[in-house]
Amino acid sequence: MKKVRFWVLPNNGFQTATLVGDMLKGFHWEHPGLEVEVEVKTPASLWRHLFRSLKNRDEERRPDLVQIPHTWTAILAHLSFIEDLKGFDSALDLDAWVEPLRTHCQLPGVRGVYALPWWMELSVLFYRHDVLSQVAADPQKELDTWEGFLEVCRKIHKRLKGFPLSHVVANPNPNESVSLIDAAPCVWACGGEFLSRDGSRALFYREEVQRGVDAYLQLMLQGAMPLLSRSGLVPRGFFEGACAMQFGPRFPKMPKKLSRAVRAVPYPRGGRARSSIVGAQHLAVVRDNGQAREAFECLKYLAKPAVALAYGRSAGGIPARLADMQPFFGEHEHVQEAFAASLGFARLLPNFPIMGTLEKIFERMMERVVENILHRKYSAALLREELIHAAAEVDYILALND
Amino acid sequence: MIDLLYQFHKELNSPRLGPEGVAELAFNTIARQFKADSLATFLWHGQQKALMMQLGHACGRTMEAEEKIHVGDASPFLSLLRGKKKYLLYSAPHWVLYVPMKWRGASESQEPLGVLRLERFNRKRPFSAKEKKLAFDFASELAQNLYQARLDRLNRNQLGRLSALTELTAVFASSLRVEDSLRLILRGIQKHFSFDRVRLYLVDKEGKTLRGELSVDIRGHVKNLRHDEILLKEGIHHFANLMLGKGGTSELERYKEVVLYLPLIVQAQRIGLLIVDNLLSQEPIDHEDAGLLKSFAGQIALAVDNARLFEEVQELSLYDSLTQLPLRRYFFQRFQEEMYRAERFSQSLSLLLIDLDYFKAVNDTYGHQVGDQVLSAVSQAVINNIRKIDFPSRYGGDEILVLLPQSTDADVRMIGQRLLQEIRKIRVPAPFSKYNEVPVTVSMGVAIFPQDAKTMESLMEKADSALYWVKSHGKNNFALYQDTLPAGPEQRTLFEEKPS
Repeated sequence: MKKVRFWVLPNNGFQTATLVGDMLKGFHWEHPGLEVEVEVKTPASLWRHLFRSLKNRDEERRPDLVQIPHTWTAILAHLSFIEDLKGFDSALDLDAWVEPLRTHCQLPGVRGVYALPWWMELSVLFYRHDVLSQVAADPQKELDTWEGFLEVCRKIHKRLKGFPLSHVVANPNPNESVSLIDAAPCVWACGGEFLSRDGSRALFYREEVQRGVDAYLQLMLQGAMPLLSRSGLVPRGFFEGACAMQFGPRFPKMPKKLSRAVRAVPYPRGGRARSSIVGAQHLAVVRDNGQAREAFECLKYLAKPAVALAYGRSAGGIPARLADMQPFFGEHEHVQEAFAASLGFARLLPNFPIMGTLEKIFERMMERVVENILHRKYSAALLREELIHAAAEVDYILALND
Repeated sequence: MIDLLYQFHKELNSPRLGPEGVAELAFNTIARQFKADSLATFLWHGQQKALMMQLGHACGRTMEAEEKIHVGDASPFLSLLRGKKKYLLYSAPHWVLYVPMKWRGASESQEPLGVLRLERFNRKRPFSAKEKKLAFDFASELAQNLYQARLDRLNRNQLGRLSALTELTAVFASSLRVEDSLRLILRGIQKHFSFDRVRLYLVDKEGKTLRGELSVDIRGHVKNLRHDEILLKEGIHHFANLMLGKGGTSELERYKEVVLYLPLIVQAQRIGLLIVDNLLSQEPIDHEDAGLLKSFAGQIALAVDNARLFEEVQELSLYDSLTQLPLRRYFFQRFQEEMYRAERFSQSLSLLLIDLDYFKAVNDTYGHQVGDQVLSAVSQAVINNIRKIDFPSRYGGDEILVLLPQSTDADVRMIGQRLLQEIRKIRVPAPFSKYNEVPVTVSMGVAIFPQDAKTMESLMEKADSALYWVKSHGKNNFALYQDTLPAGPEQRTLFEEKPS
């Protein structure tokens, strides 16, 4: 029996392999001679394993089909690690997907299609309307600007003990740090950019970037966002009912009682503009494998509207096709409105091969910054220095890689 | 309790299990034994002062997971790792028990490996004192087996890399050219150690410049770095500082997790710099890999140095030091190859034999020093006026041979004319002579494959014969063998009229 190895991210925690397996039952029905082996890898582990198998094709176990964040598609296509899907289906058309998601399926200047979106990730601000009404905050008005949002945070923080909440704002980052995706809307709202237009230079060192990152870090500095829990456990999040607000790109299932209280608004307006970030989880076929054709069949099945919608629901992933929005959100029209409005001004991270590496460098730098916040050593000067060094490192890598 | 522990010990004690296998087996047993809803192992990273989650277990499944516990100086986790506490227990948001994982070394001292976390989501079921003690013992057993499994894997990996490195350094003992050897060794290092890039810089003969040699990228593609030259002066470049032993800059310090700089040293002389990096993937370089490469840097340096010396010696024996022309032995190797090529592809191959006119008289009259200068000047003129594909050689004494692949009669005549004209322009200073300089002329004979001869020996003979013909017809000229045949007076005319 032929076997397709499918590496996925832990979209559903410990249930991921089971749920993906369930999702593939229809595929097995149509392809009884084909087995799909699902392996769950964390983002860091997936990145590491993909690069290892790229560097040493003899030793490492390689997947045939892989789920990747959209910012990895360009680097993996650039390094010839993933297939041009047009080679399997020349009529493949990206028009079915939400417009902004199409660019990251391709490599700049190349005609091929290297991945298909599985679902969309678009950041909005979720809030508990029951909590906000108790502090007399008007979400439509006060959560419209960053200052207003911080003011609401302060109001809730003052009365935190009166709520069954552990924190005001949940940290969407599972590592209790800050990722590029977390900080990007604030940076863009301040007029900052991460890379020059042609992708040849990092622009971290600019003041606008520093202002944007600092604005986001204020949530930690003012105690609104948790840093570390005493018990060493990751603090419980918004969708577990432990926080009043959270920025998030997904809309997962939650207990009914909580679900009734959850609302969403677009990302608050920053210094210069309103901004949000949109991205996607991609599916790609790994090159130079014996099972490439079979992997592509599996990819096509998973990317089908009904299958993608059903699996997206289980993982909280927003449908990557506009037609599927209504069935996805159902009675949560207010949340759907926030997502639909955000799509109008949301931006993508630039589509350059360096982006995956840049995210890693940013992450590493932010870990150091957050540690300094923890040890009460944070200052704007320290952040500035870190950003300058990070930019220099990105520039150095860009120079080495032509 | 002892029975339980013994059973656990027997379960885990299988040499075939890797660290993941050991953890999965242990998780299943511990989850069952303690009715735990979730389990996780965290490994201690002393440098980062953090406990990093390695594997988690819930709902009957074990998988990789990412969580980090920062361990500050006042953290209770530090007391746990240092053995001051046997467990940490939290009751909120549910029951959470941490027990240390320690392995016992040969000296019976206990070293921290990390912690094991057990969670019970039902707040009505706390961990009893007996359970805490049992969890502590289970964690110690797990730690011992995890440590052993990790060590086994590490040893296997290191052995594999060690043998790969040994094979790589043996490459230099083969007869490959230096560049080919360097390509092989760099590609080998990139592949076996899974680096994003490997770069090699070598110090030039004068010891003034660090020159780029080769770079191997993440896909194993080799690139020439010859354009990259760094002057070996302090402060000019951090590579120069490293080579001059001035220590690393703060910039290098920042990249130390993903870049490794290895100066190549032979007999206290820094001969080059090997740089390996994981800048693109941002994967930290293993300490074990760094150690292994560092210990091999000396061998690599020696191998590189030997190979360069070997090539220098080779060059010395292949080239004539006076004229810089390849020597006879090298010429005949090439002659043979060109003959094969000409035969196989039905191409022409001309052989031009040059002899200096009155060379013995020059030596006798002006001395050997002037003779050497004449020979050197003529050789230079030959080198400068033949095509790139032509191959000259010092045949012996004052004779020079030139191979002219793929040349027609017309080509040969043009080249011959060019050489004659350029050599006639040569003036070698001779202070005590009548005109204070020595005029130089040569005679040349040419034979062409296949029209004149079909073997190397006979081609040589025919070229010699044509040369003899020119010598006997007034010198300072050249002739094709066909021109010298007694077919008719009109065909025996010399190619060029002698200058008056």
